Amino acid sequence: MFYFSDVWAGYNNFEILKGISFNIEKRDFTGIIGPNGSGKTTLLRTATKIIKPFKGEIFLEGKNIANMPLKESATVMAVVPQDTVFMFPFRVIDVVLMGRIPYINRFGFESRKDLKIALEALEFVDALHLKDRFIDELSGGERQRVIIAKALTQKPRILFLDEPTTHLDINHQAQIFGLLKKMNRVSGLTIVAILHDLNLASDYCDKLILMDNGVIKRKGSPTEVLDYKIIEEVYKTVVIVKENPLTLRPHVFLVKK
Amino acid sequence: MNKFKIGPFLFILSFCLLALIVLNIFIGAVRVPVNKMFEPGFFEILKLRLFRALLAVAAGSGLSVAGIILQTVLRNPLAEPYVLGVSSGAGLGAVIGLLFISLGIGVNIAAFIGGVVTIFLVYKLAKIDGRMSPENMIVAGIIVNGFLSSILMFFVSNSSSGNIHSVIWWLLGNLQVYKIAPVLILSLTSLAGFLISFIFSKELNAMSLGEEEARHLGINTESVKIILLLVATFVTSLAVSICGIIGFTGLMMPHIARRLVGPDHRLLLPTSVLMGAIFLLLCDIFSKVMMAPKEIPIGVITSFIGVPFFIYILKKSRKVYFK
Repeated sequence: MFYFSDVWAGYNNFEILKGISFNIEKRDFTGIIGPNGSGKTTLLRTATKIIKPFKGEIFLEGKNIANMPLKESATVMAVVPQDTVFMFPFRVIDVVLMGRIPYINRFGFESRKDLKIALEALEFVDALHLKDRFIDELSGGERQRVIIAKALTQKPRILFLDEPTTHLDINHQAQIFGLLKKMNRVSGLTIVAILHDLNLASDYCDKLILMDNGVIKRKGSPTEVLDYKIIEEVYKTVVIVKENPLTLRPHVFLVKK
Repeated sequence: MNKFKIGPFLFILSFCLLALIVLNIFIGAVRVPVNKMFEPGFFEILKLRLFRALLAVAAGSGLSVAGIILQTVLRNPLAEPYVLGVSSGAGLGAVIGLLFISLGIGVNIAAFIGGVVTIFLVYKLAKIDGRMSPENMIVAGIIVNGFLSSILMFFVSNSSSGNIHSVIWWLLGNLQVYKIAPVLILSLTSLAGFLISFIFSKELNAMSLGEEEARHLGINTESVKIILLLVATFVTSLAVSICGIIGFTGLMMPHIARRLVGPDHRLLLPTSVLMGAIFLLLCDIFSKVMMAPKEIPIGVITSFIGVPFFIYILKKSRKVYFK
């Protein structure tokens, strides 16, 4: 589905990613974890065509993304950023409808079908009641659900998220991740999310990619990746790893210094 | 967007515009009785006043288009041709053109070069570590504006030309022209600017969420940005080289229009174009009647109204960026 082959990337000839290779299968829910500055966001920005790799190739459904027009890749992949600053007070429905931009030709307005897709997306994220509200009146959790609805309106087959719940409390975190899980299971959407919280990553993701200093330190199932030795080495802090009694996934506990 | 009836609203605005054009023609330094206006003796006056009213329409709508483009593409609610120094750059270009190349198309070209160089300078200055905050951009605009003013003053003070008074007068904003050509040129340019940005409405909508977000929606932001910034600079430069520096119109009209019809550019652009034309026609009427028979330069009036408005937007936008 999505494939990185020895990718080197960064800014102004300064290398951040140093030879990244991995493969994401269809319907995978993959978490990208790693300390600050390890290259997670650069990885995402390279994957979504914001920056061009210096070296190496990235394939999306068998096609090299370097040869894909932006308009085409926007119908296959969608991105939910950490935070979206709304400079102007758009209505929720208008924001969600922007997800149809890659499908509408230059002189066309949105059709009834586009509106239907946007409303379905809003309903899916349980935000249909917000459709006529202004985006700047919404709470952080509501806003992030609207942004996810916009991404769903693009009808992507792969969804990228950059720490989608950083600014949210645990209730809203659980809500957003429950939603992602539902999209992953029900719609078969492939999901790649950068996550800070190792335990959220462990509970919700099927696979993890642990980044350290621009390279992939380890990839695999949460049990394989969240090994206390590896975590201590990468994060340079003492931890204990135990099983979460509910999800049976490994949980990482910080040890006081 | 769905509930608001945009059609009738634009119709009312168009009607106001026509009414104001007529009103503007009947008001002027020389009192002409309405019933005598169309007598052959007054034909020259009628013609000049018609040019003036139409130029107000062309300049007002063009500056509004430029304001919308700059605000959205640079993601800065305070952006405006005058605030960012584009007007001063074009003004300096035009003055250099007037002093060294003499009249004609050379002046317009020099104004355009001045405008492009300025927007490029402001853009480069405002970008610190790849980020460009609205405040940085305003500071960059002030710096460039100050620099340009000093060069302008240098030329003005060293010029032996007798018509320097008229140069300064023109820079303060003057809508009176004596030929049809500048009216037609600016009207066509403003119309073209409006149509091009209208074609890019969806791109502008997406870009108001951020440049990366727009790219994620499949928009090639680099080329859209360059095209639209050139359009904004071209329209501004031409407006400046014909009617001098008329500040703040491009700031105020988009904001008021956004309040009325929302931020969707497909509605925003036609609304602010009409409002910009109406605004300059009104300001021009003020400029003619307030100290009649003397005239106040129109740039003085727009700045007088624009500065408090600028402060209001500044205070409001701080809330968005400094939560």
